[in-house]
Amino acid sequence: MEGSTSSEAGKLDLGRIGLLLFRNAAEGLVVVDERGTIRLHNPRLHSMFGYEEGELDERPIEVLIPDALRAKHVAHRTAYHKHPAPRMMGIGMDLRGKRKDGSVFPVEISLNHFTVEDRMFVMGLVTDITLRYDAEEALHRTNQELEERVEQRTAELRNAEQSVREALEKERELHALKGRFVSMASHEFRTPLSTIMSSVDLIGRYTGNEAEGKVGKHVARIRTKVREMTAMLNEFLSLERIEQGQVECNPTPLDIVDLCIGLIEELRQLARPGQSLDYDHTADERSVTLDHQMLNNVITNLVTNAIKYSHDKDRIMLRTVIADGRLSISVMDRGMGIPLEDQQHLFERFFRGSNATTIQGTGLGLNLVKRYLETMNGTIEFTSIPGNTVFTVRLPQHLGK
Amino acid sequence: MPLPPIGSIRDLVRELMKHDANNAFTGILSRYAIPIEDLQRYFRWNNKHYTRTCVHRNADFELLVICYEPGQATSIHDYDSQNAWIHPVMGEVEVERYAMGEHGLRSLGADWLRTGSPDLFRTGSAIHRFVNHGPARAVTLNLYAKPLSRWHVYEAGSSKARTAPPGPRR
Repeated sequence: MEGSTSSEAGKLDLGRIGLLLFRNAAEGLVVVDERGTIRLHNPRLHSMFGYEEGELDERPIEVLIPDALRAKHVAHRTAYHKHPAPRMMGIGMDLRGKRKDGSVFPVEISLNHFTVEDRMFVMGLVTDITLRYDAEEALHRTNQELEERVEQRTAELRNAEQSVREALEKERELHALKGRFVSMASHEFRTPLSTIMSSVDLIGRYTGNEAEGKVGKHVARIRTKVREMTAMLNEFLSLERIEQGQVECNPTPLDIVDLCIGLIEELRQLARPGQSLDYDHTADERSVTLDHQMLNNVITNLVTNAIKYSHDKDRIMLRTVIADGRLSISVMDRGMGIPLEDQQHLFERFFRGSNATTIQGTGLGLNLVKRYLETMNGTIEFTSIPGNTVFTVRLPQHLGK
Repeated sequence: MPLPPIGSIRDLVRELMKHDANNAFTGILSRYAIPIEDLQRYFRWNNKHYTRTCVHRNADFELLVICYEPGQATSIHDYDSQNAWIHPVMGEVEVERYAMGEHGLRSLGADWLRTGSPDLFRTGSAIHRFVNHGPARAVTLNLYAKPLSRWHVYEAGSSKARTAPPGPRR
């Protein structure tokens, strides 16, 4: 590199200083001509790229560019020669240099140009930024990990908050449920308890031979009332168990006809005077795989309702049909029916039909039926007009465990 | 030459499966000589209602063990099975027979089924009920051909159909 000047004061040899600066610069310096040939470079440059001294002389600058970017670099270089200006190279891009051994490393390059004897040369200042790049990468990774951890923790907190909310909501619902139960029990237990009390009083007064028949009648009445109260308590306890997630579905093979005849024989004892119960099964197939207790509860509840809301001497019909892998159960009665305005609320907890307030009940039965059916992938629907109410349940014939 | 007695539930089911219901079941049941020990595994007792336990069922027939505590009774009922044979194997039960008349159910009388009785009670589609008046438990072996698929309970809530007064309990 040529160049020298002098000052009046120090007589410094600037050419020599420039050469020393060039040779000892901590960054790589390279000068290429208009064809992209390396015309000059300092030792830092060839050591940075893993070359021996002199190996890069007269070589195209593209030997220092990763293979994949070489063609583009030629185009960039040509464009720069047409519109030269001092600038950073590859702004917004991750620049890479290629060492002699083929390895690639991150670099930062500043470009400038100068003209000597009408020929333009481009000078590049090349900085190996591997350490900075690695530090940035590490920082980026750490940031990313931190962000992920924060996100994960936030999600955990959100889930925990949701769980707490749900637990609180459940607690609130259970509290409300218990409140409703206390209110319902204090109202619904009053009538059977006073019946029991008066029967007990009368039993205490009977004496002599004629007493036997009367005592038997009152004992039967007490039994009925105690059974009603037990049924109410059982409904509430069942609901509480469902609410607390303590009810598991355990499908077992069952004979639906056996089950229904057995239930009809049990439930006839609840029937009103003269009522008849008719059970009919359609299909040769009788085997189902469902939760015995839940199915029992569903049928018991629907038949008991039909008995309760029908008149003396009415006929109550229970039908089962098995077809296409589905079990259909329908319960029909000719009772008072469900008022139209009540029908949309029928499966709500504690709901009592406006025409049924004088009939004993908790308002939990149909809610329980629906919950049991949901557990067994079943559905329930009904149609009702005065004198004709039909509840229809549909279930898979065989429910997997 | 008379056929040999049937001495186990397994043999009884095997015989029933071999033959046609209408022609042979009465004859098969007349050879009944099954010791009660062989049936006991099917006994179930419930102090609220009588119990029904299936011994065997196929497309042609079903064989049930029915257990009655003293005082327990079936409903007044009928069913769709053309043929039904009721064989008492323990204790005794009363069979009340009814007919549906213009004014509702009318009693046609009653019979007793006692353990060891040579006669089977054959119900068909008649309206009837079984009552164990006690004081001991009672068990019957019921054979239906075809299996039941309809069960009609008459006057379920009337005094007539209510469970009989309980007898002494064990």
